[in-house]
Amino acid sequence: MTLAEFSSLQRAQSTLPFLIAALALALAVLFPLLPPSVLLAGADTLFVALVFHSVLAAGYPLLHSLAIAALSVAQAGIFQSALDRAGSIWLALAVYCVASAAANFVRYRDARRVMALGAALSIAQFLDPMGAVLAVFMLPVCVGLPRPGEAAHKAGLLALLLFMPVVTAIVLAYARGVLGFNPLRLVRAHPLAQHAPLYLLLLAGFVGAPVLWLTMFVQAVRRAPGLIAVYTGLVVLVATALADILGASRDMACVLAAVGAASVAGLCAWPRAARHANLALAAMALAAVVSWLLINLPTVVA
Amino acid sequence: MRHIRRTYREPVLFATAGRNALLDSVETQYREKLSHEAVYALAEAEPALSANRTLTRGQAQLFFLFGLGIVMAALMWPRATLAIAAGGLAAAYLANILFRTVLVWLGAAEIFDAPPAPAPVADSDLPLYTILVPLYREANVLVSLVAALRALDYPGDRLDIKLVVEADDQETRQAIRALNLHLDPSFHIVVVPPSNPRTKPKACNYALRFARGEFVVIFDAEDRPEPDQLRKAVATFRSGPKNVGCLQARLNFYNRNENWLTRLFALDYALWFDFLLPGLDVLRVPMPLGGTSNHFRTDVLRKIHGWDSFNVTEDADLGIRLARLGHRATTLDSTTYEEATNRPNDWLKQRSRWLKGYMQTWLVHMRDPLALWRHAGTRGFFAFQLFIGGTFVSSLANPLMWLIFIASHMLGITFFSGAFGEALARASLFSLVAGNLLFVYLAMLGPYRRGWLQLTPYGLIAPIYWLMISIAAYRAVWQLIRRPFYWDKTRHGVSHYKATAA
Repeated sequence: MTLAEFSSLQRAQSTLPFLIAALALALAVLFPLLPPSVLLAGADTLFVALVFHSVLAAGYPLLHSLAIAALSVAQAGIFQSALDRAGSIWLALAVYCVASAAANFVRYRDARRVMALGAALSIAQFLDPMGAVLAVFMLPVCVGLPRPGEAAHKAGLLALLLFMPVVTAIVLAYARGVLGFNPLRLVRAHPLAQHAPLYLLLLAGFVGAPVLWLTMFVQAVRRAPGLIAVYTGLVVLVATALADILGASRDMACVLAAVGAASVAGLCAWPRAARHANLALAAMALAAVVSWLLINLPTVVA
Repeated sequence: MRHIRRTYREPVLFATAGRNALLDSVETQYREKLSHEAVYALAEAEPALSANRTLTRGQAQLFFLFGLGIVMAALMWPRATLAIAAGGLAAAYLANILFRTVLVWLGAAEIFDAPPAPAPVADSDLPLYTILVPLYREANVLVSLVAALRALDYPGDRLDIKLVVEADDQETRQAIRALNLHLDPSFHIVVVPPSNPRTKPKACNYALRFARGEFVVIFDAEDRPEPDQLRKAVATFRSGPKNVGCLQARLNFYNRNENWLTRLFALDYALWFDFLLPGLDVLRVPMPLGGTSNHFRTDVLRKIHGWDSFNVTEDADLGIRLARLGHRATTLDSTTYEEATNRPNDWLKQRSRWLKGYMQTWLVHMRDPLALWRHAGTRGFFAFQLFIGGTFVSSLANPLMWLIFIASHMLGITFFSGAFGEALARASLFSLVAGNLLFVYLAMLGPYRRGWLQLTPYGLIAPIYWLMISIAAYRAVWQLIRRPFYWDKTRHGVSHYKATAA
């Protein structure tokens, strides 16, 4: 690659966050007016752009980043959303925002990441009811257990991190209860799709996440930020199981989309990313193949 | 010597004298001229940039016409005028707080995103550094001030410390004499002759004439700079671009845990100096300097005629003026600890002065908006409107927004009618709620960089603090009309906390 090509790539990379922000803003402002198919296409584009930007920023080579972004959207759960058959992309976006922001917070712990995590936990609540569950379970883990003499410090951090998600929860409750307006209905293109038994959902969650397994068990790539992404996936699975037991079932596409999104966040937290680019690519390809096998399981079982 | 004999012709007598004695002799000889320059240098060289007139004739006419227009519109179309005014206020209110949020995001970049710290400068390469410390009725903090200055990690023979006292402040002069500072060659006492206006910038301008250092810094009497601050400043000046004319160190309080007010004040300062000013720095827009710990290149400061003696936030004005004249002000990663005013009345006086100064600064630089646009650029122009103008406009608007909210949503009084009015009412409510929530959040985030997270929960009562700022803003408007150059002196040395640089 020549220097000129490199600098144009750098320019493009620095422009990408603004394009992503513009797309997100356009979707947020125009979502009541857009037809569901356009909204879903916009959400899919946003997801791919976010993944590509994060993977590139994490240090993966350009071609690998492109391939990983393509594979992330080729996951059955997210691809189905693109085909306008399920609203799982919203959950994927919620999980991705939270997992990625939490991993970055654990890694850097600076004020900007505090703001990003708070914003992610707020946005997640607009995208999917799972967002509130994520907020409740993510924050204590991010803050960590206080050591002696640290209680006031940790309480302050928790208050800071909780502020945005709590305000969002209050705003949503007010919008639903007093104004009779539920934004979740607008972003969801379809009500919950085909039902799958709980054991299949859990199986999909565990089998469909090779990247998260690697993040958890391979010494070379295991770091605290990656483990936060694994934890996010686990929270989604446990919450899905509990919701299923209580009668609010999620479909297979949603579980696969959520695990796929957490996987990308985990991948971005791998240390020395360029060195593990091929492993990352192989794991994402495997996840994509497995997701297509899994998504057809309910039909086979039936 | 031949030249002296030829020039003065008289029999010339020679005597030995120390450097400070020579400076004192020059001061005595040229006192009147120096005093005049200290007050009027800027007003005479750049009359358009001096606050010696609060309003120009054009501005006065414009304000009169604007006010008249509003009154007439209110008489003819009361509801529509009220609705439009409320909408405009709501927009300004929200724009100000949103801009601050953006600045915080930009300024929040930590070591991972920020450029690396400059390499330290070797002792042998350290230049002469002038420290100006304006004093007025500060006898009670003098001992700890001198201790803090002596604690600076900088070679004593390269320090030119100027304690600047007013001629009629016998109490402080007596305290200085008692400390025998004339025996220490690093210290030089500058006595400012009495003249109006009696402001800190005038005293600083007077002392600047005697500054010998390549760089000059201002410290207040109660300041406790981190010991390595001068070294960091030299390293930053030397490694940075040549157009950097000023470095603003971070400020905060050593008595922050004294009471609820000092805690809220510490949140306010932390947000301002740790996030907002670095955010302005990232955006490369004019930065209003904070009252102390401003490090300057001496030649640049002299070139722009020093501080405006008539502006009561001369530091904020100087930051804007630097930018307009092609110099940059940037932040310095070092903290000076000060004493926070711990009583509401003292706080109110200080804040009123600051807001009055912001109003003066805005009025001065908006005398010719096109020139400001040309000098500061489009981004700088709008940043100036949002940050300088927005600061006092949002403070003035805040209680009005609350009044509208209480009257329309709690007392059921109908201000707005029709679909347009209804939309404006909603926009106004949204601005109030969103603005206050963001204000609370930013206040909570303020102490994060310093790790003072035990202060974070106090951010939840920030709306009360904002209302106090609003009271100060209205007081500032009144003072701007009645006594524009009056310097409401802040009392120091009243805290029970011991002054430390930590």
